Amino acid sequence: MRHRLIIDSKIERLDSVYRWLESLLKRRNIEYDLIQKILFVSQEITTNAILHGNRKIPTRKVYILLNISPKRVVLNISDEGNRLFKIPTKKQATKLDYLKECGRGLKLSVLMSDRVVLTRGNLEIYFNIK
Amino acid sequence: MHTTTTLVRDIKKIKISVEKFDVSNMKDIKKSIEREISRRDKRVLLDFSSVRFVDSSGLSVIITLFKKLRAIGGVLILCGLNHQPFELLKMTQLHRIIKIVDSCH
Repeated sequence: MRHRLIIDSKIERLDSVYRWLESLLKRRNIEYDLIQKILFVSQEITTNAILHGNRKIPTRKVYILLNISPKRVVLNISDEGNRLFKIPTKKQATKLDYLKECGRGLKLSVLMSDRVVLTRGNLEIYFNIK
Repeated sequence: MHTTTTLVRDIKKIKISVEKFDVSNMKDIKKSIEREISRRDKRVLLDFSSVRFVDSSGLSVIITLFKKLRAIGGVLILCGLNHQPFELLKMTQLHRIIKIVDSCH
């Protein structure tokens, strides 16, 4: 089942993304621990899209797609910016300097999910359902 | 008001009164905490019992506070951690260096 949410690039809108996802995932009886991981990752990637992708220009949108199937949950988050960035590998993400005060969000997202794919500005994050 | 502060013996207890400690409120919470702590406060207890969710911005506030206190020979203690904040601390290995207690009393 596919669900879609479009938000303005405002930090205040993050809470609506959180509530929307939480409600959909709970309704589909996704395990509590997995819901927490998905909520964390969506928060990090959406924050990144608002602050760095769309540079906080409120008229620019962030698009969030959620696809829930029996075996996995796929989150697709895209913005209207054209920045270039690299997704760390699991190995790189594991070498997390936990006392460093920034740049932790993307690495944690890689660690909490099963796969992260970047295609033409779209970030697709896969979570396997066990 | 995102925080409430009480002094119990020599421990300054600061309760974070938000459900989500994230990028939307981290600056305000950081300011409130910093306002409450002086150089004389060597032991700070952060009460997380109301907090259900912490993102990497919230985490950065905890780390900053931990480092500041450590630099002056102080100690940061976290209490009342709910599932998600505790799991995040475990994943970042911070549970090994920051003191965590169950009860805030």
